[in-house]
Amino acid sequence: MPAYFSYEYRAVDGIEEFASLLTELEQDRSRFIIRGQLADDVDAETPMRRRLYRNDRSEPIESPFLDVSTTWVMIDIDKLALPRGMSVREDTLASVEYAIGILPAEF
Amino acid sequence: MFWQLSGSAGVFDDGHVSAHLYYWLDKPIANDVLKQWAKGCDRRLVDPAVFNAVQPHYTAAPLFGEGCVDPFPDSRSGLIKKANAAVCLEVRQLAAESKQARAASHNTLDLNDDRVGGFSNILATLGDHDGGSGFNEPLLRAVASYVSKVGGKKLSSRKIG
Repeated sequence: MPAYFSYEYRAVDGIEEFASLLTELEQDRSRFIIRGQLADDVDAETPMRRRLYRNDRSEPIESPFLDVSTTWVMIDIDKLALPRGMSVREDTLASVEYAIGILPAEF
Repeated sequence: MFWQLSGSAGVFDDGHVSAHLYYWLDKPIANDVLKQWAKGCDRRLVDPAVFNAVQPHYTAAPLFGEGCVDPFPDSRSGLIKKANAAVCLEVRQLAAESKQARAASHNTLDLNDDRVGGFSNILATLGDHDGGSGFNEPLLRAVASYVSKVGGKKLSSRKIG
């Protein structure tokens, strides 16, 4: 992974716009998303490190991201065993639904 | 919610699912609060490490080299529309709730419990009415959602009726 990254901000409002963005990003292996927000004094056009903001930083690009509240979360489901007879290849949507059903009730 | 299968999903075995589940919240929530909330959840399901401002969330579809077969050639992601477009996380309440209390509530879950939103919502799409999704897919999804909630517990005839 490189030490310095280029930055792009994309505003989305709601799960449908967020889904559109994520679908678009599926085709681009050079990008990922983070929850942080770029500090005001950082030049967005300059490659920067992926580090949290620090008051004692030497340069803004060395610690550019603020830890802010966000309106999205990602739950990472890793190798969840499916019920016997269920196949993630054959029953993809049902497998996802199974995982959702195991999450806390809010989801 | 938006789901996206992980790069390894279905590659080595198809009896497990690995996926990223994205949700929109009804209000912005700080990473520290989410980490506290995650402590009350099953660590195998909710990894608090992702609630970090600079943690990369990889979104690109995997590449399969020569000789490798993509197990999901058509689509590996999708949007599932829920009754509520945004999730309301009662983070303070959940943080205070004990694991034992959560386990107890899980064991007494039934189909009439409002918290079984997935199951009820899926059943609402069953049929060929306006907005319906037919029969096979909603039934399969509903069963998967139910099994994930109650596991191997026997369904009583009262609940079926």
